Amino acid sequence: METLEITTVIDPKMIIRAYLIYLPIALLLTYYVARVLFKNGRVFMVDIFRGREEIANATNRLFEMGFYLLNLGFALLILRIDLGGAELFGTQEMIEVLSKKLGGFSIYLGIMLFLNLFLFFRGKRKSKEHQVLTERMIQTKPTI
Amino acid sequence: MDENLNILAYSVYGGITAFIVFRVGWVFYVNGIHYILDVFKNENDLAQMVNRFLLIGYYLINLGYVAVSLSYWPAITAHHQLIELLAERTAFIVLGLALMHYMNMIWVPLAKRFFTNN
Repeated sequence: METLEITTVIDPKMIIRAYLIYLPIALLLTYYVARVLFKNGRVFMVDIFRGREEIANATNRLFEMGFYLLNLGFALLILRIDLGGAELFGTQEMIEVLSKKLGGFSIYLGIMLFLNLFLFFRGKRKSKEHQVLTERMIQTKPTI
Repeated sequence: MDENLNILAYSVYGGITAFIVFRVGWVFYVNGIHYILDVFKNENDLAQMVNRFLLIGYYLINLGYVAVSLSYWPAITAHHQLIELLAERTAFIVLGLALMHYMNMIWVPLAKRFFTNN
């Protein structure tokens, strides 16, 4: 009975409007971050795979796909606006709810961006270590 | 309310998930072959076969999940509920795909190390 009363007080059109604002912003934000990250990611990948273009490109594409799946999935998961028994959902409430959601999402995206950058740098370092190790092995081989 | 929102939801959900599953599967199929070729060195036919089996298995699992999950939707009574449910259910399948994808990214290099003994 209570929920019935609330839906009559709150205008459902306002919630739909909030979703229609939230969705494009969240999707475009993810798209922009992914594009910036993986346009530059290719350089790292070529370095990591020591110039093997094909597998470097494939890895970059797969990481990009993973990034999209994870972050778009998260963006859709947090879409629901839980009114929690509130009596009113006007323009003020909509702005507050949307800024909380979008702000939180952009902080999350920032953390994801730095996590990916960290992985790129780590891969580069590991690849370099491996290269130095194999070179040393080749150099010391004739003396054994 | 005389219009049936559940049927509308199913058709939109089916369209979105089919698009995502086919698109993502194709990207994995095209880019994954380099990894499989890395594991099965010099055995091009075997690598192609494994890759195709992986793609078919992926389609069966995901489209099967989409079809089965349709029977567990609650009754939809309002348009904002339609958007919420569509987003939530799409998020589940997309996050499931992400989980499977990251697991593959972890175990394929391990498998490579295991098979090539290096």
